Amino acid sequence: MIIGNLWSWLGSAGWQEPLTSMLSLAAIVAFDPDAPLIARSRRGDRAAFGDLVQRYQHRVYSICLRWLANEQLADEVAQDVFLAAWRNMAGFREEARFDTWIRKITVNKCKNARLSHHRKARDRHDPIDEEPEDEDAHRVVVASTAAPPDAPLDAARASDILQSALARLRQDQREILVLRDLEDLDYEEIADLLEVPRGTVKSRLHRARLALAAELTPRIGPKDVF
Amino acid sequence: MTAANDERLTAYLDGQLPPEEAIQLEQELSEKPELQHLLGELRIVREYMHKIGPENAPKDFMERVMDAVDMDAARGARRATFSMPMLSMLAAAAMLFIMYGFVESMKPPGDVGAAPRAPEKVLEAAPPTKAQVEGGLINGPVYMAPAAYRFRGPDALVAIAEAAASAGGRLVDQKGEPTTTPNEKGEIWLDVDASQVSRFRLAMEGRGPIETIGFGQVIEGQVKVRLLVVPGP
Repeated sequence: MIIGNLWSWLGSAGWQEPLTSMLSLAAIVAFDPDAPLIARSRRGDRAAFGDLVQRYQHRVYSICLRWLANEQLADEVAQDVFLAAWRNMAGFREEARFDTWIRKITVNKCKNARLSHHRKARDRHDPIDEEPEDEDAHRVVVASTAAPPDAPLDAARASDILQSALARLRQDQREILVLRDLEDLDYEEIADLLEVPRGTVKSRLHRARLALAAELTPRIGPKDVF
Repeated sequence: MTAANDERLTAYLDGQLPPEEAIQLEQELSEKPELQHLLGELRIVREYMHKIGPENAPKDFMERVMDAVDMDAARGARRATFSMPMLSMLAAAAMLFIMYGFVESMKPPGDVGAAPRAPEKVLEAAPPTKAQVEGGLINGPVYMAPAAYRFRGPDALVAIAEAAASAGGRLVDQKGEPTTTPNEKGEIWLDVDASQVSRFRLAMEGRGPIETIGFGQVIEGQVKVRLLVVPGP
């Protein structure tokens, strides 16, 4: 009751809006574990930025690898992501989340790298197969033998099988699987990042999962998942 | 509609189907084994990706990132040191240019005996902005960027070859044929993806400041960068 009255009084005095912004910012700083590192990195603190790199390196590299299906290219692009983040730390808005920001940079870099890689292959008159794409010289090599039916997969082999299967999908299918099943984004967020309608996300994701199922089903079973 | 075309299954798995459609689908699932089977397969695929999670970056990845950050910071420091004298020189050059134009405009037209002058070369593109010069190549469809560099020292060619390889480029002659030897003018070209020129620059900056001797309009994609190799100091 007292708090409600106080809040109404703040509203009539024109203080509600700035106070809400300040409280939101304080909440982000209080609950975002990256906030202190971001603040120090923005002042040029190399060690703090190093901690952010350590915290996000696997995630960024993983998006790049699954998206590009090319280890060497993924390594280069992931490095570029962090270099771009370092150069633009001063422009980072503290009310945003660092993980969202770094993901956006990663997706943009992956899109550009893919375009550039494609153009390079085209300029060299290399054959470019549309479906599946086969121009990747450094595609991850995976053993082709299927797993024994009743032996559970070890983590490394399971990861290799997934990477191999993803590499056989179309580029747009890989992208959407990475964003949905690796990054756990909802359909609206994916539509926003890929600049496509929500309905396209739904249909593309369905086709991508069907294609991945066709690749994975001979090699894995429920025992590898549940 | 075949089971495979039923996009509702994916949306249902992701909890993105409206409640009334979800109830209808559950009803159909209880009646159609082929739908149930497909839903099971899609669920396995989805859970498999979730279970495996992110791939680890290479062991030396962080070290390489921080090396690049250090090189970038060092470059920033050099810029801060040299930017004021360079700006002064540019301002002086601009002033001289304006004065020259003024003197020329004051001359009477049709000087007897003066040789016909070639038409002035018109700059079609705007000069590079400070950010473009400092940042080297940036992402974008068309932009002005450093297009020629001079490197000095007996080890310049070896360093260039290593930096070119690290940027995924190759050294070529003017016709685009692979070579390891500069021509008689000391020129050799780097054939590289535009997005990787900054990587080449970063690698070369370990040797010392880079002399930029030309700018050009660069279109994103594969580019040829002219490198002038001066073996002496």
